[in-house]
Amino acid sequence: MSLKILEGLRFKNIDTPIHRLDPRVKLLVSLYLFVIVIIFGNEWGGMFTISIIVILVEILLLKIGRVHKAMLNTLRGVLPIILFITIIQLLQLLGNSQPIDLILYRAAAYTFRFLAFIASFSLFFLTTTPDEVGNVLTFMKIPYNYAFALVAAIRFTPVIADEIQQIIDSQKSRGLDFEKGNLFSRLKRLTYVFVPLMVSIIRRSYEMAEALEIKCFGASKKRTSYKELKFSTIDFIALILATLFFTIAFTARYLNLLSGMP
Amino acid sequence: MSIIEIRGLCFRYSGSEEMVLRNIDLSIDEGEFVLITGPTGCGKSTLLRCMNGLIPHLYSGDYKGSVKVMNLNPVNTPPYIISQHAGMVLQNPENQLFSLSVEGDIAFALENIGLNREEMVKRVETVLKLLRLEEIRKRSPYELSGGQKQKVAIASILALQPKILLLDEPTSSLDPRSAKSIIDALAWLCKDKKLTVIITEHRLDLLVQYLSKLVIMDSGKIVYNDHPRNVFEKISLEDTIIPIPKLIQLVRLLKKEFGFPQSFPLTVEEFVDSLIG
Amino acid sequence: MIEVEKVRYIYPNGVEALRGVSLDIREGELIAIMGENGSGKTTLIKHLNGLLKPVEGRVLIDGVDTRKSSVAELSKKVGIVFQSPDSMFFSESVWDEVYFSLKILGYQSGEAESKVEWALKYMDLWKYRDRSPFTLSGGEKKRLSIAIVLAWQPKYIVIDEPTVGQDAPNRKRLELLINKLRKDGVTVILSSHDVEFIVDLRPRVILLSRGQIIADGPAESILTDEDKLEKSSLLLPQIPLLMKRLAGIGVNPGCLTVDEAIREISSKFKSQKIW
Repeated sequence: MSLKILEGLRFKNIDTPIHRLDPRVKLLVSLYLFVIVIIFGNEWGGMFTISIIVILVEILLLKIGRVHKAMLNTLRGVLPIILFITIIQLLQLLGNSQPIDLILYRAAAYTFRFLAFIASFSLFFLTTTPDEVGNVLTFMKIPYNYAFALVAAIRFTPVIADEIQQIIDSQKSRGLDFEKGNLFSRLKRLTYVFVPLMVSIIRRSYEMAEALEIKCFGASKKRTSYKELKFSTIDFIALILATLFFTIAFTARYLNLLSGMP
Repeated sequence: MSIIEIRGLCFRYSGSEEMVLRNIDLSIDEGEFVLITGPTGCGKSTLLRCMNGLIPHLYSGDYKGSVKVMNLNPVNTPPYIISQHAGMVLQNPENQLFSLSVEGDIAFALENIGLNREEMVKRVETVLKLLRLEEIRKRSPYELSGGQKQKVAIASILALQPKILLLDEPTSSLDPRSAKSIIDALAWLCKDKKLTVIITEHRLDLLVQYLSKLVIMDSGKIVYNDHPRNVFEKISLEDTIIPIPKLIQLVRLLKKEFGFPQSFPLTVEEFVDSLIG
Repeated sequence: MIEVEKVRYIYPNGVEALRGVSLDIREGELIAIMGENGSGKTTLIKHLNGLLKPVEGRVLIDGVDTRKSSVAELSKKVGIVFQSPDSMFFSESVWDEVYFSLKILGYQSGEAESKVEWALKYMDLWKYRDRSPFTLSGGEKKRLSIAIVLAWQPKYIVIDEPTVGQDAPNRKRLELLINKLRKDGVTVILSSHDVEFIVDLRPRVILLSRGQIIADGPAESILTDEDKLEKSSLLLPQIPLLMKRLAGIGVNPGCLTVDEAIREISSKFKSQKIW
């Protein structure tokens, strides 16, 4: 059982030009990249080219943000999904008995598209602290309680992941084998993880309730904020560049500049 | 003038049969360093929760007697007010950190009470310096050791500028070095910053030298409440309700069997001095 | 015999938790693996029943390479009791909890039942056999977690941080229990940073620091060595500390327990009529 996919949430505060960007700008950049990939959806010649371009841009940004390794870990986690997409495409096309190079090309287009799509999200979440995510939500006038719930969920997911690992280790050490058997017996064995996990989560939530009470949670209707969102010159430049890139891609899509096989 | 005054306190959690506190009387003066200890289930954690209002605000039950914390009655004062007079640190540091950076965590409670930003920044800086956390101010909880996490938890409470700090087994999951560094920091805060510290703990060997009062509880009652030297004079060595430090066991036996004349030393250094001057 | 040979282990996040650890554990030994949190203690013990497999080097349990066997199979020989008992329990009664493990390890009905009874009596939990594990006190839960593993009588039993969160009466019980296991010929391996608890057991001590063994030897020589303990972020226990400070006046600095120290100090001072 692998919990590697959650590694990306174990946030480290690193300081790079990407991390320093205003989270609102980063969110917009991620959305731009995401939308670009989406609008090239129905024509896979263009999809192939634009996905490669977007991936290259994302690799560059992830590299500058020094989170490319974390990204690779996440990719390893979603590898089964990527393989699934590739295989489904291949099978579908083989059924249509088309030329083999076309089949491979189309399957590659869909795979790259998915990669570009995953990376656009990861770019934002790997370089933005959950605290900043909270700030962005507050900026978007979302009530603090909801913003807090989201931040706390992100904060405690890795902690729970450790807990699950600990329970699995304990149960394996008393003879339970999680890998053996058919799907049904595997699912049944998960209850031996589920019960201790629930007990621990309930206990933890009591302790968290105490801690929140002690830390005056909800004491003031006018909650203040330690971190201020500040829009600097660099943010401004980043915003212009990102918008420019988006506009070009958008134009290219509707003038069909990238269509067809390269 | 006592800063905490407890008279005839009895408590039973709702849904439970057993009285957890039975007729507790305790007064604590400003600037004291008090250890409340005893076996699991003796009521020490419950007693702390009565001092900062978690009982009866978060946990309800049968409540008799009176508690006064800096002349406030926790029963009819909201916990967030009490927290600014008597702040509390819990056992597991992990569950007390809600932000993804040290400074964010220290600011968290201040944001909640709606403190203006200027004052907030000032307080965060003061506390970071006080507990020497400046260098790790940007780190996330996943990059901190257990000891550092607990220090951050203490800092985040101190930012509320309470006069009293309550700590519920703050070092129980820490290794000895980290535990010692937490305890030494508390002793310093008590002595130099006039903070009243009330702590529940099992590590008597690291703590006794700093204590003004050692309170031992058993089955919901206070069985000893005195200066540690006096408690160690009286308590039976066969009594296993608390882990009696080895040094104390040694001196007790030296006194009993060989007529060692000095009063109880609280540190090895003190004992060595009394032996070889 | 357990042979740990030049084991290196790196977690998926890149942390190198063990950096070339070699260690032989012979039958009947009592061993304390000590070091600060994060020194690699838990990573090391997880190698003993194959929960983790070495990236380099190998671990042999009675000659069997842990990479060539399953955790379930290895656990029959090496029983590990982890720090938090709560991460084990899911049954409705104490009895069921112990019985469950025996069943999945393949014990037949009659035999399994007698083993449950034996283990619960050994751990003084027989009177709680019908209680729900979740209603036990902290000390009782700890004992139940040991009983679960003890029930199939593994040759080696590993207890991770036995004293964390345990109060004075329970510490005393655990001390007596470990001595009893040892007398009954079980090889006991403890992982702990609790020097005051370990010193009274007088085990062979293995000091870990940053994934390497920095000392391996009898308690008398390791738990009296301030520099080595310092490197593992541990503190000298009170009695060795005292004897060290008194070494100038000629007491034996190798004493570990209160009784030994009393004999030393009283003979020294009585004879000199200091008080």
